[in-house]
Amino acid sequence: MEMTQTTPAQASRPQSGARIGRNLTNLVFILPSVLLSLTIIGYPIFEVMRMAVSDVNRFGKIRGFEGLGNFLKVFQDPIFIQSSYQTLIWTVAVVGGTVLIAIPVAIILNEDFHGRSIARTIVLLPWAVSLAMTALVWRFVVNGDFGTLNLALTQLGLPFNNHPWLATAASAFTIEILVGILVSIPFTVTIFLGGLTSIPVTLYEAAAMDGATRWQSLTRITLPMLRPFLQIAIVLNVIYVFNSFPIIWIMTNGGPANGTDILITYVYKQAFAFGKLDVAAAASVLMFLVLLGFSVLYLFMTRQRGAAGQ
Amino acid sequence: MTRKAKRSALCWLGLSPLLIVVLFPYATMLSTALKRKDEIFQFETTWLPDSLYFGNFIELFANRGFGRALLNSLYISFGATLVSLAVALPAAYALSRLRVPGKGTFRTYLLVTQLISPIVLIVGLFRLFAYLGMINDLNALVFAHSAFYMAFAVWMLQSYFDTIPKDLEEAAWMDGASRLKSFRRVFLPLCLPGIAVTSLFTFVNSWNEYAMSLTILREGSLQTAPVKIAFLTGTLYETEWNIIMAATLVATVPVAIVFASIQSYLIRGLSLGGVK
Amino acid sequence: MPKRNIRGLWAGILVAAGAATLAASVPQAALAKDTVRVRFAEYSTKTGPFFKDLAAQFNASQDEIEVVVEHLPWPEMQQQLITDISAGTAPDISHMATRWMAGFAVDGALAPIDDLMSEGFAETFVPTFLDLQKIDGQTWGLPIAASARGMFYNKKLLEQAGVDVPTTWEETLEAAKKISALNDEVYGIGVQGSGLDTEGYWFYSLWTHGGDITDENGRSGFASPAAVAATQNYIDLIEAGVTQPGVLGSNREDLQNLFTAGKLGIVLSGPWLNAQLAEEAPDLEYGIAEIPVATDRATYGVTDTISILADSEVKDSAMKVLEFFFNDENRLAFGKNEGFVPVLKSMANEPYFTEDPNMAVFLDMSPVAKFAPLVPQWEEMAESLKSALAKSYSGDEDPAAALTSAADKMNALLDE
Repeated sequence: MEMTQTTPAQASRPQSGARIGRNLTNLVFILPSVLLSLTIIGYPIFEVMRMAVSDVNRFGKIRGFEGLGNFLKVFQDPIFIQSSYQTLIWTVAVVGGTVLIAIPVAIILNEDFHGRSIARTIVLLPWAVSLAMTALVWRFVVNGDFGTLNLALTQLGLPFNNHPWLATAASAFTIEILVGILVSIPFTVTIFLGGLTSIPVTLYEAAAMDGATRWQSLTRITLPMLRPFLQIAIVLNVIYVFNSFPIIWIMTNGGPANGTDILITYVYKQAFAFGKLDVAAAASVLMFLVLLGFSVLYLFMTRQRGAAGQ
Repeated sequence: MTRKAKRSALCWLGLSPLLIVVLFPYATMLSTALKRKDEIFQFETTWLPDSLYFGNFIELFANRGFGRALLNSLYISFGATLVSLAVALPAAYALSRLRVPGKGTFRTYLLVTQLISPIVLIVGLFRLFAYLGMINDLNALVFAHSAFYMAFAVWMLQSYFDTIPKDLEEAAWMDGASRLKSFRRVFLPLCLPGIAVTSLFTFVNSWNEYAMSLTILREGSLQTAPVKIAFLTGTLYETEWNIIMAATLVATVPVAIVFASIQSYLIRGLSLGGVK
Repeated sequence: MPKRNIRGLWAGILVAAGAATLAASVPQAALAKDTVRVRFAEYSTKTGPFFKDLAAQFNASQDEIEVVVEHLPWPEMQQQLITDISAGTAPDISHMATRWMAGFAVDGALAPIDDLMSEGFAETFVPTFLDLQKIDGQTWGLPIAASARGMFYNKKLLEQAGVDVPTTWEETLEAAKKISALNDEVYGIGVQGSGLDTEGYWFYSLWTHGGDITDENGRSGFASPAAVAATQNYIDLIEAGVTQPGVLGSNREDLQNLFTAGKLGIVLSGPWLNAQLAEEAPDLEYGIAEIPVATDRATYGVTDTISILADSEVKDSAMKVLEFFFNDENRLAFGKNEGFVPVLKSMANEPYFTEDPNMAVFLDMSPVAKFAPLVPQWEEMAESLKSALAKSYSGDEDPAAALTSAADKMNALLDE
């Protein structure tokens, strides 16, 4: 084919045809991943969408078309509104707390010190147990009369003998948020460590030559270089925490008086305790839209800011 | 040396609040797992058991089939890690290196697959696997987990691939190597650490997954470790804390070993970006 | 069969390992035996082995029916059953809480058993308990477990406080005050504020104050004057500081554990607590009396149900299995194992139930037992009631106002 190329104009045509062909064959690379997830996640998502606009019995049998009726029911439920507000607090507090703690922890773990690999392993430990088990263990830890938290605090001379930590919504929610932070730290620290180790040492050496203090190299080099990793950590944590079910379900079941219900526990109750799969599906679609809106908006904004910064 | 010692002390001091909070539940688990059942709810709560009692651990393996559950979990986690790598590697390579039509759509699609919690999808997932005749099949979980955790693997791998200089591969092509050959000989070895870290993420997520395993694996002998623990203890009137704590402790061990042994990889893997 | 092959093919294309496993999971068609899958939830660690053993006996006794037993923990039971029914993979027989049964029956998941039972079988049951399994004149299951509730008291603490076993709520408040005064680590009476059966703990007070869940017109009784008084009764205990700290954080198990540890003077609970006490606190001296009274004697009767599912293709065989499980001998063994009250007439005179004072009290109260109503939306009604109770117990809301909103919710659900 190369032999026939006589003019540049003629040359470009067949070549671009070949390139498009090759680009199409490149689809082979992503096809397996698309097929796998489309098969396994696609169908259930379709089911949820369908149930959301249908009248459904408690076993998912469709009785008729409902249109937006299920969405209306969701919006008219004061507990949905309350759960939405609590989901906002839950997500912001857990993700915010996680990021704020994970940055210094990652910076420390990136230093060269004695026993660093032991420290790293310990920090990752909460990740080694499923959320359901972690939640169960913490429910025992914070038990008023028999829990080890009150035992330890009392032994330290603090007035927490038999203190009932889960008895008010505020205190129970705080404990749940702290547990949520604890289990999100390993994942986040790992991402940040990845970011920190990708910063070339030469940058710091150059800064030191220019007489920068440690604080200056932290704020001028480390933190800006961490930004893309921060962005990944925030987006993924928001998604995971927003949808995180076991901690709240096992520790308080959404109580007292729905004071710790978040949207995912609301959906679970609607679907499996109350037998309202259609209402649950409508609420799930709303949750999906909220997360989609957040992700798109956040990624768009940070990309803009990133572009403006450069 | 003394400077490093001083720095070490400072680092450990800075980490100590977090380390205490992390280790506290483990102390609780150990304390409770070594107690007899009738020692847990006593008038005076104590840290130490009356005597070291290993009966809970023996009970777990001898009578409750926990060993089998650990093996099931290992099978699923390894399987899910392999399958998700198998589909994520080419996808991430394509995103990083090749021209593919619809790249942006694919990225958005990956994000969308992550936005819905499996709990919400449980009924649909169960119907799907029932239709495929894969209820009570460990492989169903291998595919389900790899489908859910694949997106993250693609993102991770792609960001590693982006840090590997293109010139290295191009040099290989110049030497007449085919694209596939250069991928295997040059590219893959360079990104092995990144693959190790990605595998860790997938493995851990799969190891800990509860809702899907619970729903799809119904037979006692097929249950995974997290589900088994819930089953061991879910009688109507009482929670067997001594058994729960022993089981949780045991379930931590394999992952903790993976963490510890992957440590050096984790550092090298993550520092790969420094090559840039 | 061809349909299965197409499915197998599809599975093979989509997921490589699917086809092989499918082939392996297709049961051998040659079997003439009916296979009956039975699913149980566990009351204690003895439940699973007990039914496995019964199934083995049954399988050995004949060769037409093969029973396969599965067991699940209670917390997962409801979700699993719904998922299974929705996908057509439910067992032939399933255990469930009676309060879920109404919803399951209304949505067509259960088979009525009136025409399946052999003659005379229905007459072997204590009528109250079998009647509870009926909706619109049809029987939807058998009462696999029944319990009543009573007042457990710690003899030593009552003695130290110098009080007699209280019989009225007034005496209970006084006794609880004296017990609480003994020691910082000891509480007079347990009040449940969270988790499974929170509403049940309130029913004890509701019924003994002469209230009821529904009134004579079938509307909600959650906000009746008796209901408000019943709630105030618990609020009085809480405000007097004679309950365990943090009522809203205490579930049923927390109260049982406090009683087991000897930290609680009085707790209202069911016969299963006997088993826990025997195992974990053999030295604790306790007694069981009737639930304290304001105006009426009452106790909460609760049953669990075992039903045949509508999709079962072997309903007749399934009924035979159930009749075997419910023969006199097997029921007696089950009752002794788990400590439940008799559901068969034949058991009522057994010395095990009549001579042990810790069992007899539940039997004595059976005539005054009241039950939760069988309505499909009961779980949702109970949830809004729990919420109202939490607001009342914490003092965040006036009990009359909180209960009125729960009653409105219940009435709205009744109208759905």
